[in-house]
Amino acid sequence: MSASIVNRYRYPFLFLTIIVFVAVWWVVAKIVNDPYALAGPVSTAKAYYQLFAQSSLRNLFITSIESTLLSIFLGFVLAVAIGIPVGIFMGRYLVVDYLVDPWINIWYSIPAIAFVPLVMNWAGLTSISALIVSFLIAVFSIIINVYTGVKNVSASLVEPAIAFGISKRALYTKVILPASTPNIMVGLRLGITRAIEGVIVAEMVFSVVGLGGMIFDTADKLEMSLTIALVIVISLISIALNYLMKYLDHKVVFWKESSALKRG
Amino acid sequence: MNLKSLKRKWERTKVERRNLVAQEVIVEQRESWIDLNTIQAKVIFTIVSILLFGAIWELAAKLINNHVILPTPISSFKALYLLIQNKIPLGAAGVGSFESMLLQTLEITAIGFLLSSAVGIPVGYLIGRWRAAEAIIDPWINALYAIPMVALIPLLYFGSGSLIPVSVFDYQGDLLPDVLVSFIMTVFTIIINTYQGVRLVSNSLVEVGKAFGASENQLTRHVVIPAALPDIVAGMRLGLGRALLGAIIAEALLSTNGLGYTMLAFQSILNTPYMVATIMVIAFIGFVLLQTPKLIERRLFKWKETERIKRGGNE
Repeated sequence: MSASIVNRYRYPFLFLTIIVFVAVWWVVAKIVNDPYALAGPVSTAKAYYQLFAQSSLRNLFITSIESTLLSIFLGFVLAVAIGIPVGIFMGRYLVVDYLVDPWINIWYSIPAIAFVPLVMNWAGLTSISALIVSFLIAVFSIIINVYTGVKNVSASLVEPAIAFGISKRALYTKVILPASTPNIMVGLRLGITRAIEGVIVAEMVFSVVGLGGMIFDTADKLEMSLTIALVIVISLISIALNYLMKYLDHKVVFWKESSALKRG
Repeated sequence: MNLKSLKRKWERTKVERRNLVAQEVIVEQRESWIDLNTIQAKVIFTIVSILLFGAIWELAAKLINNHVILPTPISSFKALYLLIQNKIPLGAAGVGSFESMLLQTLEITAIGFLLSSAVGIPVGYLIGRWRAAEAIIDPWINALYAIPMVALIPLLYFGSGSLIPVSVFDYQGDLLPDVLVSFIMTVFTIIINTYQGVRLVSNSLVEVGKAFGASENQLTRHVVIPAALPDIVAGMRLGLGRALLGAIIAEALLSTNGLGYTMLAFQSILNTPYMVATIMVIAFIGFVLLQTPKLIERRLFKWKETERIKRGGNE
């Protein structure tokens, strides 16, 4: 009974939970009563006003968002451009699979942050470094998922195509790529989540570029309300990108709702 | 030629044709000099792969010819050997002994992981069983999944000093923020995976249990937990990787010991061979922590190979 009520008024209830969340936050902040430990919703709102009204802060904020988004996108696009072909080759050619697979597994297990100091030596404390980190982190989850997808393309799809004399190129574009699309999309979704996290980690270590740098810097100066405001911004960006990928996923892979997709 | 031999010939060519197609289709190994489907071939190729990687690395390092950008593999392994022997170069400020940094990283990882399992599994279980509120919990879970938890670290760290009196925990005071970071990075992964596992337990199982008069307690113990266990364990495996990531991020950003700090300390004195050696240690720990549970899982949950195991983890 209660389930149906909640499901019917889904969005009002969701809105209600957000209000409850903010209220709890407000109460906790009041109890803690220490702006350096936890800034309340009111001072966070003030921080937003500050962020847009103060021109120097506003400019910093805008350039930070630009550089963060650019790092995420370019790194991700690069990872897609390299990860998908590599994954397909690994899935199709056993030799490539055997040669590349050990390294993919090892590199995939490395915690993202381990790339950061290496990249710092290559490109310094710049958004290009953040870009490289986001690429390095996203590319492996894309390769692994594309590889799994291509490897699991059913032989009952490939064999008839060959029997009917399909050209090599058409075999890839018309059979293998479409059949492994669900897995490719899973890889892309995981890739963007990881890319975002990698960029934020890198920027926090650099602490001079991007939103991550700004978050760390403001926290360092104990301007906690600004920090929370920026954390909310990056969270919203992240949620938006995730929903975008989910939407693309449902658009591209409209025929199949695999369990992997449901799990997200 | 009688009909029988003709038929036999036809059968034979059919089989040959099929074999031909199968070979071409499945592995495309027409010209290969070795049967690729054997274990030996895999071992040989793994060794070749390692050697090849080393050769490429060596070549690239020789070409770049700048040990700050890319040290040669030999100098990196030498640095690794010296690092394990506790021969740390001059100028690396405050880098502790190898054992102490290894122990600290593992300690933070372990405590962060255990804490988040202890909190995450019950919470995930409860919200997974609470079907009435599904429509509300789902978007929150999705949002939590999307939010990069690393962004919360500055809040936690700079706040935790005054938020939680260290004496309450009476645990080595300076490690508490690191453990908190590791915890916050891990706990949501575990909650989300437990939640998904519990929620995806097939309704028919639960209904049969209910029809035979199982109490909620019995349902939990005999139906839901066993069915959701593979997902819970998969979540814990992913959580282990996250806990390590959290520990190293915490050390890199906040601490003055541990592998994360050491890595950046070597970076700041531009001693890249030692830095690469530290990264190798981290990579090794990450590899062991992520791959061992996978092997165990394959053995334990043969009956329910989750998508995640097949995919090789989604974190």
